[in-house]
Amino acid sequence: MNLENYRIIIRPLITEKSTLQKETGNIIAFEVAAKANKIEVRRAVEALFNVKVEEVRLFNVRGKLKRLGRNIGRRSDWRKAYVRLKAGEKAPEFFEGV
Amino acid sequence: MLIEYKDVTSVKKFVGVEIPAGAVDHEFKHVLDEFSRQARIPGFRAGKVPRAVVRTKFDDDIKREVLDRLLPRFLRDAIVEKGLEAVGTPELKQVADLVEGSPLRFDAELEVRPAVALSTYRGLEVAVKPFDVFADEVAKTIERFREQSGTFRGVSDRAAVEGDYVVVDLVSTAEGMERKTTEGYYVHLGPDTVLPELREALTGRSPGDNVSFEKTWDDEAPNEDVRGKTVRYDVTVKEIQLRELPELNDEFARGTGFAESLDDLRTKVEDDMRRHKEQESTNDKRKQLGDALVAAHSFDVPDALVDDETVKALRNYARFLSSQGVDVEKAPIDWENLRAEFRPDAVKRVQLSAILDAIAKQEGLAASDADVDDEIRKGVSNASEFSSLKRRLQHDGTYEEIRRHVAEEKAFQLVIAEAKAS
Repeated sequence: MNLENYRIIIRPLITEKSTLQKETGNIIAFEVAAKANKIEVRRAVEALFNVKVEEVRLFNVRGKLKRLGRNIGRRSDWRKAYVRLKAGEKAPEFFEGV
Repeated sequence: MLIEYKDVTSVKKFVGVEIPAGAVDHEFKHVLDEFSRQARIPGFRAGKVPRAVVRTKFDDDIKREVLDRLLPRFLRDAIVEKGLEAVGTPELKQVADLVEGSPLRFDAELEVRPAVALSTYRGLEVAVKPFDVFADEVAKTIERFREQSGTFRGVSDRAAVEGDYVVVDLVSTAEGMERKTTEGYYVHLGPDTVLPELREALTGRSPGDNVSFEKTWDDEAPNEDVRGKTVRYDVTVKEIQLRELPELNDEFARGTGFAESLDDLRTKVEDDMRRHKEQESTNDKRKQLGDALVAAHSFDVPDALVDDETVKALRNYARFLSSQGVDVEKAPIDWENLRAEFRPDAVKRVQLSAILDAIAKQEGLAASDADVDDEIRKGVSNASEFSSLKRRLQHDGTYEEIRRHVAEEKAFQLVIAEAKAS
């Protein structure tokens, strides 16, 4: 098993938006390593879930400012990936076995 | 749907039930809907979580909920379908895995009310002890009233004679025993005194006198400390008192607070005694007939009912103990042992109740709502209390329990009425 793939794909994002996109556009969402590029993400997804990827879109999410009284904190920035699978590919069920 | 039915014993039945696939699916969908409405999962607004996600996330909970809803319903249906009268809580023996879209099979064991094959219950023999209230019993009771309302009066002009009360200070000493002083002790110079020697020593004494005597106790002395010892008693007479009993007249009768005159008091005491003896006689008759009925019928009774009855008896016992000032929580009581001890009687009571139930059915003795209401009214003081109690009883099923009880009592009355005195 190539652990490098797991370093790139951190976790799937399971939200209302991502579920909807999965159903309508065959797009799945992940949190990925902050330094990952599209090619690495594509390879990792193809290897881990055994599917063919059509397109990868990446962008950085800025961590939210959180304050507790007079203390200001900031959540870490992270990188999100929307991965569109090739037509006819079936998206993996992340909840299986949870 | 009932697909298998077996007798385990005469009062324990095995049932195998199959829930049709349609019902399983329907309930599954229903439960899933409810979970979806309430599920809170990060990333989703409440109520917007897709079914599939809820399904996978709460799989176990959903299945358990579906079973919780389906099993009791179908078990009840099966019981009704078979016309059984279940008692206690059915015990689930085996439940197949719940699979959506396929029928579900489960097995359970349940206890039912015993079916009683009635033998004779009319004309049972009962030994009746005749009773009467005698004049001397009445007189004795009235004498006790007199003694209770007696008053003490000091006597100073003479020495103590029989019948007096002598107030003394008492010092008792013996080898190997702590010296004990009792002050202001009342000694009755009469036949009921604990220590005859003391009575003898005091007769003829006046206040201020000192007397001493010794007594050797045997091994049966009520006070453990003095057993087998010779005790020296030093007694100082403090006072002589005379108890004056009120005169036996109408005034005394009124003073007791429940009679107008002496004759009235006599009648009331007599009536009361008669009632008491009648009650005893009735209880005795009931016990004899109850035992006879139980002896004449032999059948198994369900454990559930016996357990209920045993618990009831234990609870009564605990209540009795605490009314005697025993702290039930702390007292060293072996409840398990007690439970075993109470059980045989509980079995008898359950049997008797089942027999009476059968008699009531055979004789068409039913308790109407009015009968049950009357029974409830006995325990309450006003109308609003009655209606709230009635509602509660109807709600928790006790109302029907009382109905059964009243019908059984009617049956018992019939057995008593038909019994032959011997």
